[in-house]
Amino acid sequence: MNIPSDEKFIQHNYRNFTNTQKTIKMKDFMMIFRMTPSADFNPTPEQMQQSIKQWQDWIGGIAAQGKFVSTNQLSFQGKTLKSGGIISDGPYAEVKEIVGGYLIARASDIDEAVKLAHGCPVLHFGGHVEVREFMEIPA
Amino acid sequence: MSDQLLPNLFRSEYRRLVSLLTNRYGYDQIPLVEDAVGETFMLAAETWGKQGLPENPQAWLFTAAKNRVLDQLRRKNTIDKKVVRAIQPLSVAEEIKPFDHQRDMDSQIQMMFAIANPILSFDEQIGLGLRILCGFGNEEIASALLVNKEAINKRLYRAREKLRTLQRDEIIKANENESRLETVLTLLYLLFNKGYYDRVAHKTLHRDICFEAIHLCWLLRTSYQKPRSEIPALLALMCFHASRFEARNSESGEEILYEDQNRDLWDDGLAQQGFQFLNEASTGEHLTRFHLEAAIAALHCEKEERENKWRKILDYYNLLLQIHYSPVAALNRTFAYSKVFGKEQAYVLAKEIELKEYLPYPLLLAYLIEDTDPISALGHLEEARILAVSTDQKNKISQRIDLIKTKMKS
Repeated sequence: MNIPSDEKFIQHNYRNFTNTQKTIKMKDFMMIFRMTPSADFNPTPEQMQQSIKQWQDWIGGIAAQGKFVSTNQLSFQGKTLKSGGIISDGPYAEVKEIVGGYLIARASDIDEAVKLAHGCPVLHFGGHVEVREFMEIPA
Repeated sequence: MSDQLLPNLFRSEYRRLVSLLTNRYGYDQIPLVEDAVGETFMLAAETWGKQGLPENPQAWLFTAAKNRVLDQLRRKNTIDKKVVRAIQPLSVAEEIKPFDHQRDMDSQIQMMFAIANPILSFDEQIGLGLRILCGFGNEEIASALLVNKEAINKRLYRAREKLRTLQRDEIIKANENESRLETVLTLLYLLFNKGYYDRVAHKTLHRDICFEAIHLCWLLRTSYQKPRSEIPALLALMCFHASRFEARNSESGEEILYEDQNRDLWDDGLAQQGFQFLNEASTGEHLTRFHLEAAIAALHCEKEERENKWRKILDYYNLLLQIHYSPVAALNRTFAYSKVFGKEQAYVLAKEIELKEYLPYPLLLAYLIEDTDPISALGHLEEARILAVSTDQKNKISQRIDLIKTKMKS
């Protein structure tokens, strides 16, 4: 038998496929990427490229399981509003870590969601992933 | 008169005439219009056979079909008057001309949007698409979809009945509704895939389906009110795939895998067209699944494999799956992953996908693991053999099992 080609696996079933194979009710979880801000973090364009690929490969893996919902990265710029209308600028001198982004995934329970978080590139940069279940608010 | 002229003329004229006459007399008259056009073709075959081709076959067909529709409508009108059902008044003044290019295009595009209406199931859309948009006969449709003719008749009947319930406004406004464009493109892609991927008993029939789908997409590109980049993107995708059509099957109809295809049989002209459309598509603002799939197909059309081909393909699949999940894309992504990071790592990821009762899945798992763990590979292949439907598939899997067993002994 030959190497299966890319084409070999493409079949006519292109209708919108929702992952109906799981009978368990799937819930949404948010993975929050936290990391320590570092002033001397100044990657080269090649390192940036490399990092983007790492993130995309990890996200693609979640999407390939049909469990991806959405994701966003946050820039380092920002402002903070405190009570009394006090606005302060980033960078966040008083916090030890910042939120770098999030990803929403669909999983049957928190353990499965945590399993998906394995391999998240933020772990390679000394950061960590916080996994939180969405709260259902009764209407 | 060549044997090919009539079927080809009928096929393209069927869509034009049915769209034009339905546009004029209303979608609730679809069955009547289709019958009238069908009868006109039979009459033409008979008359032209005896007397030779008329000077202008298209005009002849148009006039004959229109008269027949009017005839039927008048008859129906007199009967229906008794049950007080007023059909639309037919003003003779609003005469349709045989060649009004704009109206022609508009009515065909309107027909595409009507058939892609979500009240029709996918199967009904494909059936009616093959019938009205591609002009195939019920027998051809039955053989293309591998179901019997009665089932097709029923399916088409249901689909037409559903279309008849659509309000006139709904049909007229459908193509103004830009979100509907996606359903039309999906329908055209489904039609194309019917021709391209279904196991082929009739190669020419399947090729015809593909080229009709390309033609429809081209019509849409020419005449859709707004330039939308996903139209040329889909067109590019279809051209890239179609350029390998001749190389994909052997003389005996057996499938030839990508790596083994004779690249001289690839159609350079079609591939070039594909690159042009892809260029055109890259001017748009948003990225759709069709853009990404076309970009992947483009890489497969390059005869000299570029160094980072699989890395690029993996990038595209990563994005594609975030926009539009499908099990096929999930497996193709895993295959691309194995090309970049090796089979062992890809196997770990593949195991996470867990697609049940989907034949390509255990086949991919077996491919990824057979070098390092042949016993597991055999397990996956046994599972695949149970899932396989055709004896041809079962035989191929058995051969693969034997091959691995022989290797293990030596």
